[in-house]
Amino acid sequence: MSSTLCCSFAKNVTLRSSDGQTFEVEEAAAQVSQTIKRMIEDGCTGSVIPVPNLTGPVLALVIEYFKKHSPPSDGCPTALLEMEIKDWDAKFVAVDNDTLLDLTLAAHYLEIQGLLDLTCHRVADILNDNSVEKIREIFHIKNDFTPEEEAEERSKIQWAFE
Amino acid sequence: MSSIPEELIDDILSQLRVKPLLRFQCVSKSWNALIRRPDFIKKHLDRSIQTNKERTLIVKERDSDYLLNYFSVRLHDDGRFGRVVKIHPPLHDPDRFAQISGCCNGLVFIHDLDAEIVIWNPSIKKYKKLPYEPSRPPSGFYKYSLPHLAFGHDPVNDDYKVLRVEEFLKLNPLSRAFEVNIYSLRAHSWRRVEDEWPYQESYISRCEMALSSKSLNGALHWLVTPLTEGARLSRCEMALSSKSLNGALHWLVTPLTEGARLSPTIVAFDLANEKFRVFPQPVPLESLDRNVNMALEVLGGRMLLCVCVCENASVGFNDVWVMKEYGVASSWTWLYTIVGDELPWYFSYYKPLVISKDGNKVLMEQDREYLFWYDIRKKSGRRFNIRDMLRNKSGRRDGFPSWFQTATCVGSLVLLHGFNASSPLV
Repeated sequence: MSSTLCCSFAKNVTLRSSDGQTFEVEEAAAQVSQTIKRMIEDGCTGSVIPVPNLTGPVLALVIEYFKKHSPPSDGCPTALLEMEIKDWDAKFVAVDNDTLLDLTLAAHYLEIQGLLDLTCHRVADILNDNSVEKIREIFHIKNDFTPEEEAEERSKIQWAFE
Repeated sequence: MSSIPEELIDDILSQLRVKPLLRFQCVSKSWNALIRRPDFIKKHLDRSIQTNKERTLIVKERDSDYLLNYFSVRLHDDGRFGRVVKIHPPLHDPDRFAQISGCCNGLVFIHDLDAEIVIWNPSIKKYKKLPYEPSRPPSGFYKYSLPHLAFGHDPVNDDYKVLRVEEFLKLNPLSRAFEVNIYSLRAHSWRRVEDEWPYQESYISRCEMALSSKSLNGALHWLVTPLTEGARLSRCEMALSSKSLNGALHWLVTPLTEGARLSPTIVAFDLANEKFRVFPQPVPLESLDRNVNMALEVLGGRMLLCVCVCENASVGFNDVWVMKEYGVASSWTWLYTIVGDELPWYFSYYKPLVISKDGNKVLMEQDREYLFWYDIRKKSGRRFNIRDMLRNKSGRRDGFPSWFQTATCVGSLVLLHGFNASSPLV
């Protein structure tokens, strides 16, 4: 691989969010996203790469993630570095619910498996500890049960609510 | 904010604990349908097994009034025990003799002396009671003992099956006959197994050293003691327990030959094709005398052979071998040995229950009374009295329980939908 050579020249790409904000980021870092990687391989590097599913603030966060997770230019990641990244990851997803869901969708859309695992795991943690009502609120889910239907569903597993 | 695509919801929910998932059936109709879908239940189970999610010990204790009580105790990743919760098994009369005879994919298999057999998922409080199936001894034969039961998962048909081996006896001249029946949860019925029990001249001992069957990966293993000609029945073997692994039932068979030298073999029953097969000799055991007990266990998805030689309360050893590659006799590898005076308490059989993620620590049960984590490298352990754990944490009366039985489970939704299982008891 000629990645060392590539990184020492720090080749950049420009990403544009749905609301028109542009961000410059190292090409190697942006390739943490499989979607962007494919676009670069298809020759999109010369121009601005549009990221229409992400707003500026979310894309800014994703770029922070790119930078932290871009392959190190000086060889293999150390165990210490891995621990540091793990800590950083935990803090990175300690955000409000809406931001967390935006990040989850961004990871899904941009095919960033590491970020997707991280956010899904965090969402699962939050879900574990919340009520049915709160879950509907977090996910913006409409309750389509009639009151009678819901009462019946609940009565079947009353003990799980205790 | 746009809505989360279904495949992500699926992925996120499969990471949840069982109890919140049960509640979230009330979130919306689509969540309700998703959580009950067989492929989701499977995905959730696979994830539970992979991550040891909600690993739980099911503990049965018999108290001083000879009543049976059941508890579940969560086992955390760092080895700590969680809250002790009293649970209610779905037997008609749980105070009668009842046996936990297996655990597989979060399902506990229990039965009592009256042939009441139940497959029970304690984490969703649902169960399936098996229909009664009479045994049919050939003419002139009579029922010799209680049936031997084993439980496991058939991964090919994604079915749960119970195998029942009946032994019949005839006198003058003495002869033996076997009847093998199988129950399928999908079909909810019993059927005769065509294949014959491979050791017709055998005696399946009732003297058990451990909880009988325990499973990961879904197959069962039994310990059996076939008798060669002239051998006596007086020997107490560590038998009866069947073990489930890789979609087959397994028995450890110990032919007794002249000079009482033990030469154990595993008999497996494949749950998918419903055929018996005989494994090669498990480990090169040499000059084992009559004080040797052996058990098959399953630990971390692998088959173990536990050899316990116990001369007295301080002299003896526990020798444990692991079959690294399933079915490959040459892959038996020594795992650890605990000698009699190594641990600061009296010596007996230490039944391995759970292995830690790094493979260095094993949770063991001793005499149905104690639990301890044994550090394989440091050769040390700290012992907990189950009785104290139960009493302290559940705030129950001060009955003095006499013995325990444990099974390990993971969080599972199996039986939630599709098997017409019965709903919660009180």
